[in-house]
Amino acid sequence: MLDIEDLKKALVRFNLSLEIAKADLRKSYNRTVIGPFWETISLGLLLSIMSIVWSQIIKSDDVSYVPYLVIGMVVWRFISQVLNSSSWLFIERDDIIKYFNIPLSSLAITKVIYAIFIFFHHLPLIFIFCFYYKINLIHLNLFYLLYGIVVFIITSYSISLLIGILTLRFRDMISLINTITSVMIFFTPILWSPDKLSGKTKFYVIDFNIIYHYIELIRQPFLGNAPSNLNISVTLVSTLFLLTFALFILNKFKSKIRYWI
Amino acid sequence: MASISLKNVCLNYPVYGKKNINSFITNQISVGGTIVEKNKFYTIEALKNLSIDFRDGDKVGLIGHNGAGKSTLLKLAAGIYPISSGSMSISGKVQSLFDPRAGLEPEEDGIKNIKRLTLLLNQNFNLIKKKIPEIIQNSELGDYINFPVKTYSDGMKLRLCFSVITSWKSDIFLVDEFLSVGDEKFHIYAKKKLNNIIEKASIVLLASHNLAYIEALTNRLVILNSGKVEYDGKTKNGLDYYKSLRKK
Repeated sequence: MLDIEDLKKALVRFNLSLEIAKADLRKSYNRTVIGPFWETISLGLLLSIMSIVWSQIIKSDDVSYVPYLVIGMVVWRFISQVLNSSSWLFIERDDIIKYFNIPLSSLAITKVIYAIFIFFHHLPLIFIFCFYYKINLIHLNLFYLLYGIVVFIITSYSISLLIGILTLRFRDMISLINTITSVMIFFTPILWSPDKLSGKTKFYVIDFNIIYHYIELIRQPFLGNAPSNLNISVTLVSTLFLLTFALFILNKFKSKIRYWI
Repeated sequence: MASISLKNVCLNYPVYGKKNINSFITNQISVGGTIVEKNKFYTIEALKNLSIDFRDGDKVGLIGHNGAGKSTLLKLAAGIYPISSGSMSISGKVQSLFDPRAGLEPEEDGIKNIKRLTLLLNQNFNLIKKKIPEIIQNSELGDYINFPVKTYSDGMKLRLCFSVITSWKSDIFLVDEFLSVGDEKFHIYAKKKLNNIIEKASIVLLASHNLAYIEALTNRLVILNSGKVEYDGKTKNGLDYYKSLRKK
């Protein structure tokens, strides 16, 4: 029913996923002098400019707006990294899939590790901006991050696997996922605060937006608050659902995946 | 004790994205498995009702036309392709070498690719780590080991793969046809390495169009024709039969 065996084997062979992810990172920044720290510089520059311009455009107090924007953008980069790179999960690894007997979950785990590597290069930006705007980062609500991290890792694996299988079978999905990802940043409260909306619009755009609940799991603890009960319950249910669904789909189509290449 | 046992095994490849074929030119098909159309959906019958056993001491050469089912049979035994119907049982640790380019990361140097290959082939890298100097020496790649693999020729990539997989013992060894690459010096090297593998393993399946290799290295020959076994017996007799077929 659920291909838990594939996930178990992939976890036993975690070093394989780690090695592929490390090689991908080295390859992305091959022959550059500062390597993946370009990630820090490029997002840092973008956020610096946005913090000056956007806080005036949306007429927000920059002390409360900028840390909100920075944390949201760093988390969003992690999410978009997982969504976009997973479109190529199996397609770009055809040589491995066709010639080596590896658990397919290993490749999904590779995408999660890669996104974590990039996240760690963005993470200093949160500390820098929070320090600049005198946001206190030492408080008990920070422990909520542990829940957030676990939920993010499991969901990223599940989503990566699902997108990988979907795009392998239906190649139009690659463009569709790219389109959805580029739209979601404007649709989700990252550049703007949820209190800018009200009534039914707020209900549909925010409460129904799973990505918002996931972002809140990381953003609120950094800002000194606890995520809401709604954030925690929505993410818990969706994490369990996505994991179950991904392992179900893997079990159902595993025998066909190597033919879809 | 190592063994591979297949009973009435069929393997059909579904073909996706193929537009309608208006008429089959069946008389002209001399390669590949049979193409079957059902409700405008195409499948290729790569293996048909295959029943065959391989036991300890079998050093098997697999020959046949392009698309006869040699690679499919090997990938089936390696656990890469699932069977469509029938049953298969394998006992023993399986190791395979299919394409020397597969799995290697062209931007990384030889040493990093040794680690990558070891992990892809499901070996414990901590045990292999101690053998890296020996692997490098066996590859005879010299200073190239520190160069990106994209600078290697196919023969050099194969040297790297050979030196990695001969650093551990496997019960069952599966080798696909890639022996056409490389110069004369490479062929001497490849034969030596293959001999080394064959001596260590209990069962070897070697698919190749290179009959000289098959004659020198195997004691049993299986000739496949469009997914079926056409001959299964001693190598020498089988090669004579195969050569007589080709003359017709």
